[in-house]
Amino acid sequence: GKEVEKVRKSTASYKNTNQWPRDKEVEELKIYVDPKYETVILPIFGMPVPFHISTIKNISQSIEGDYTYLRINFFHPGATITKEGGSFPNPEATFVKEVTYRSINTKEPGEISAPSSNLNTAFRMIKDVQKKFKTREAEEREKED
Amino acid sequence: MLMAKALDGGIEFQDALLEQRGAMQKGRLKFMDSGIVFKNSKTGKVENIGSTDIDVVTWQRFAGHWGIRIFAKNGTLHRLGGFREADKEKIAKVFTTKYNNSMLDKELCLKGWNWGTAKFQGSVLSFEVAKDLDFEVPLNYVSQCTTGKNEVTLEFHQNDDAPVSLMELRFHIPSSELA
Repeated sequence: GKEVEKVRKSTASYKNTNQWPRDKEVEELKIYVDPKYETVILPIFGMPVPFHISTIKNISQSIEGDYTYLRINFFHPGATITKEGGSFPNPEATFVKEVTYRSINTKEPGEISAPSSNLNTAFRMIKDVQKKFKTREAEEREKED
Repeated sequence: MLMAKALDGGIEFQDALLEQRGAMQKGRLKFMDSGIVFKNSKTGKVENIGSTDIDVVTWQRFAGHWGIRIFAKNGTLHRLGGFREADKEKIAKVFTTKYNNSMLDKELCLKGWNWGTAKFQGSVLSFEVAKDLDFEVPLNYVSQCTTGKNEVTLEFHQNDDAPVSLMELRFHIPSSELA
């Protein structure tokens, strides 16, 4: 028979603003990971912007000199097709492909933790939420088969 | 949090915020007949938006507070925040009476998708997801822009005032758009 092309599901983060997290990190324009809605909120020039965990391909962190860097790679058409891949619902769109954040490793007087601790926490939590999401997705696929 | 008081029929906010390179700067905001004046409380630097320079004004959510987005006739973007929902009516009235402009509502996208449409207007790049605004990049924040096969990379001027600073943003552009 004809091979059915698998289309990536477009999971949405929040249905309405009532679900939007009121946490301090969001208000302070830091990176916030919301495990409940499996969403990473990234500050982009004054606006907290949600990205559902299913859009994130991989992340990496590095420390160079006084700064910590966090890079997030997103799924987009044209990249190597992964096992869980499939095609995109709208390949003609523009995709955010990658973002890199930088934060200083040193504390200012009066600060409890260095600004880079936010990137460290984000890195750990994104990995965690991603792992849980992938496990659940795999279980759901098994059920379908 | 905010103090609003009458000022020649206008209003003044003691604790307003102005977005600058990813950081919200505190300052005093005045809506005068001649225009909008923001004075940075740390640096004393004054930002002016002349009453006749205002093109489009919208009311939208920012990080934990409400804000106004002013798109000027010269193509620049100004984002002022730190308002409560209750301030909306007062601010809208100022725009109607002083600047003969009506403040519109702007919905922000909550979907969490990384695909959408990049729109250029003046010196602003607006990324829209499912027809709602997702984020905006004032192009004067860009220090370098490079293009590759199906991609555009924006690098930004760094700002240590921002708790975390966006360094680089890379877009995947479909082939049909590049043609």
